[in-house]
Amino acid sequence: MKKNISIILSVLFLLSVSSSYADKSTKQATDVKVWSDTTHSGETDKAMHLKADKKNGIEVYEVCSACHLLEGWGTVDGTFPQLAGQHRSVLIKQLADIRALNRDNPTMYPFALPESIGDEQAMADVTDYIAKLKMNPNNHKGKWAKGTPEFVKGKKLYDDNCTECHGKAGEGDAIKFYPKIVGQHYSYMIRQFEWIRDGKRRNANPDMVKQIKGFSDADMAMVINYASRIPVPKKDVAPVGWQNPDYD
Amino acid sequence: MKVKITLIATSLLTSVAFSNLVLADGEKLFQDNVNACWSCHGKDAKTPVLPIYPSLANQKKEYISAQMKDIKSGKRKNGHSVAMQSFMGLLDDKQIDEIAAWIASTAPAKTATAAPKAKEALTGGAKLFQEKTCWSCHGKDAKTPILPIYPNLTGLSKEYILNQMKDIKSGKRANGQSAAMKGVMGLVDDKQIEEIATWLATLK
Ligand code: HEC
Ligand code: HEC
Ligand code: HEC
Ligand code: HEC
Repeated sequence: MKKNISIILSVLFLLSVSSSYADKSTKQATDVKVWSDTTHSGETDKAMHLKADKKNGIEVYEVCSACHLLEGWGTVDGTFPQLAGQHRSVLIKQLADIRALNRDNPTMYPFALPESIGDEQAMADVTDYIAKLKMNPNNHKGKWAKGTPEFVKGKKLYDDNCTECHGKAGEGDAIKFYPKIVGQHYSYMIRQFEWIRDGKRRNANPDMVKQIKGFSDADMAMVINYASRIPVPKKDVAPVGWQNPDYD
Repeated sequence: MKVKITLIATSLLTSVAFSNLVLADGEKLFQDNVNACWSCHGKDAKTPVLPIYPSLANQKKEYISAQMKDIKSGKRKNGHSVAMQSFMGLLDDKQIDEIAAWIASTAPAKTATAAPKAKEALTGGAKLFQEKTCWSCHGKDAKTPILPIYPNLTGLSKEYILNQMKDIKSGKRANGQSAAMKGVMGLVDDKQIEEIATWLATLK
């Protein structure tokens, strides 16, 4: 009996080799493209106009805090961006873009799905909560302090190329979906800037892409150095060592 | 050529295994001697013959089915996957789903574990599991994955867990949704991986 089985098994092995060529067409359950079919930009608008519930915002944000931290401050190594204080419209747009696979972010992807984040109301609640969090007093900064030639050159590049959309003080524009970049981590911004310049971040603003096309890596480092060093307005920043009391 | 092999296989099979093949029932398919799932994973799907092999019993059917399909197609080829691949050729998607449904149905009723609070003081592997983002996808108790296509991490051996974490980090395991996890693996070094695996292996 045992011998019989092993013969069968070895024949089956051969068989499996040939049949594995035959199943190319089968749709994988893991094909995430399917999930994006149900996402439309319309829901972005909807979430923007709902009245937010803070209690639910706190509840939904808890899972986000695993990566973006309870304070919404992200990590200085740039793996996770600061979210605290970002415009609500920008948060909603980015979540919708990640969900629709317009912005590749496999790690974040599951959290942007309706299965985990919930409906438009939950989206409205969590983004409202995040936008109102006070910002990181110690964001990661580039290495050139005020007064160095690189700082000065970076400021000039910034004033000439970026203010039109991100504002003189890096404040962005909520209505036009321009992100606030003041207070964001240098290491995160470098990655995004490079991805936008090189076309890897597909949801990028085409005008920004055009504007920064000629930027060398050195220009990029200097302009982002400057952006990371624009002081965050006092009213928006948290005291050093602040801990989010909503999770006590 | 293919036809010939199939013919040989069929004639060999008819005597012993024919009845098993036509019985479209997940449990039968798992327990029979053709697919031989049990010979590696255990009759109850949770007593693998080697510690480096996984227990399957705690997983959701979506995850089980996706992994079987990936091992069959070769998309998942890390660790000891090839050992299993040679047994997958005979199964079609429908049978795979049936087996997955049966395995998932054997899962023990979930015992409620008090989930640690966001700021609770934990130590060792448990602490790392919280600090290094793991819980966001796998659940605070390591058995409440955020999506059914994500794995439960309880009931697995230290050896298996260790291997999978290292392979996902290095990219050797890149099938399915692995990219989601790869993005955070830069946060843990080998020592921390070991610590987490040691702790996870204590969870039943
Ligand atoms: C497992 C880790 C993880 C979790 C959990 C997570 N995120 Fe993220 N998130 C990331 C990463 C990584 C990025 C940056 C990706 C990149 O570099 O493009 C990101 C980026 C974002 C962005 C874009 C920020 C920007 O400045 O453009 C938003 C908005 C965001 N996350 C919101 C959320 C919300 C809301 C939740 C909870 C519902 C959440 N995230 C949960 C990892 C995570
Ligand atoms: C024409 C408008 C425009 C100009 C000019 C522009 N940007 Fe942007 N920038 C945007 C928009 C819009 C986004 C967000 C894209 C999206 O929706 O995903 C963005 C995103 C970014 C981000 C990523 C922010 C995040 O949170 O992920 C950085 C960093 C950035 N810009 C820096 C710069 C710098 C530095 C300059 C000047 C050299 C610049 N931008 C010029 C419109 C602009
Ligand atoms: C020859 C031994 C062997 C046989 C027979 C076998 N498997 Fe496996 N299986 C493995 C090994 C080894 C792995 C883990 C691969 C690795 O090291 O990464 C695995 C992994 C799996 C996984 C993924 C588990 C996880 O947690 O990711 C599933 C599901 C599975 N097997 C189901 C089955 C089913 C159903 C059958 C029968 C059709 C079967 N296996 C037959 C050895 C086997
Ligand atoms: C962003 C989501 C995410 C995060 C964060 C995450 N994982 Fe995973 N993990 C996954 C997914 C998805 C898989 C299965 C990949 C696939 O589809 O094959 C997985 C697989 C695993 C496996 C293999 C399970 C099996 O049965 O084969 C282990 C072990 C594991 N993760 C441990 C961890 C640990 C420890 C951490 C923290 C350091 C972590 N994961 C963080 C999503 C995540």
